[in-house]
Amino acid sequence: MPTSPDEIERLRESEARLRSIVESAVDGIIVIDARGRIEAFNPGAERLFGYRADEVLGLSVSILMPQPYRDEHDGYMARYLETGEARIIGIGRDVTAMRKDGRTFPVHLSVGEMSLDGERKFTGILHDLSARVQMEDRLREQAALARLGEMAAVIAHEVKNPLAAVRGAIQVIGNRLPAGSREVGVVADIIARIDTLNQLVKDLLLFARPPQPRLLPLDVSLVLEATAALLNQDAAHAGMHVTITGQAPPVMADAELLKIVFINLFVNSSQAMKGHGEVGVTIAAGDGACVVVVTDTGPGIPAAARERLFTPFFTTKSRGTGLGLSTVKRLLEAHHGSIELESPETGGTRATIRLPLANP
Amino acid sequence: MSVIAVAEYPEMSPQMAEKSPPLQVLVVDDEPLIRWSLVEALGDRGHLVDEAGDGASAVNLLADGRRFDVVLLDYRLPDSNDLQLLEMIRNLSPGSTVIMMTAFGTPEMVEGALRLGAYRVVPKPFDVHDMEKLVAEAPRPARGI
Repeated sequence: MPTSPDEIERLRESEARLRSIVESAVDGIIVIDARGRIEAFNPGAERLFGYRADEVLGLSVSILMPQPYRDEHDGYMARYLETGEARIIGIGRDVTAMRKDGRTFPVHLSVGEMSLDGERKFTGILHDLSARVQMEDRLREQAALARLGEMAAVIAHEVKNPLAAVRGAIQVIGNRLPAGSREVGVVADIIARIDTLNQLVKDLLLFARPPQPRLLPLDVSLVLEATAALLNQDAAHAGMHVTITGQAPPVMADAELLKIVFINLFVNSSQAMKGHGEVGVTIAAGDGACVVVVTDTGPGIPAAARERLFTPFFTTKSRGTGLGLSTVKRLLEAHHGSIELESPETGGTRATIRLPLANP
Repeated sequence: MSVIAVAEYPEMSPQMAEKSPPLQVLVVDDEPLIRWSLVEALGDRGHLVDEAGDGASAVNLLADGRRFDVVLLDYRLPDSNDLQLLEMIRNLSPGSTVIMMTAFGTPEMVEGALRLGAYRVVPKPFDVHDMEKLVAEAPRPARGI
């Protein structure tokens, strides 16, 4: 035990130094006891998890973990204390942590063991990996899309050429059939199937190799009106009533690509409403962006589908490629824009699209 | 033959058919069924159609002095995968209207082809009737020789 005042002063200074190191650390530092209760929670940990230290001191560290790790933690601790079998202690690994608001995030966790006054304690240092993991995900996605793009180009050529051959030949043969014969109808059906197949290849190409947008200042309301009018000509969507309100200064966009975006959204709404119902479109400007909100009176997005709306090839329709919304997202991102989809409690589906203004 | 064809396709007016005398057409494509379809369809319209399965054969025909009002040219051939063949055909036969066909046309390729004087770039698969109409409406400068 220290006795002299000098020694006490030195110890106090030393403790203050250590404390400031712990408190200024960017990484989260958490100390737990042998039963897993939190004894120290530095400001870095507060930032990571969204808890104040006084909210978590004394609680089980498992509250910082999502399931199933939360339930497994106590058993893991007990096994370690009993057998010394370590999975993280003394090693460190990438794990998933959970914030106060329930969101999970990736961290690198390293745990050291110490003995204080004969009691075993564990110090965990947590380094946030969110940015790195996000970047890795983005790079992986870009690489996958680039590969898909190359594949799609080859497939497009190797499929469209034979389609052209079959379509042309069957059309010539059809022209030579006696007018009114049954085979004339069959030939028309064959051509329709070929066109469906061609549309599938075109959809795949549009997603996998979207054209570079040719950006020009344009009035988004004109594109919306033209798109709604176009769809209303189609018997399947004639019962959909689109009302466009509000206005915004011109956006920088490619009119043709924007049309594809709105066609996809309107068709989704129309199909959700079984071809009949109201679609409301509001246009507004804010934060240098044009904000277009499209709402419908359909049944909304099924809960099971919400996480995967923009996943290519995911679909809830019995017939469909699952490329519509993922293409919409890709096209908007190519415009430096964005889309969010939600099902408000008031019902229906709401799509919020942001596009950069020509003169922000 | 063309009179019957007009009766079969009311969207093609008799005036249009009248304005469309028999043309010398060259179809360049390595896919035999595509050549067959175009040769037959355009032949049914009264045109005189020749065919070539690759770029070299097409160039030989032109170099031999054959003249065509319209050349239907596939972008990708066993011996051609760029716009050089188009350029060569335009030089050998400036009076021919060239309609390009492509299974995979990027905007850059389409623009390049139009810049080199292609009349249209038609994506594959196409409607045979659309090709008939394009050939009929293609500009026909006074034929040399």
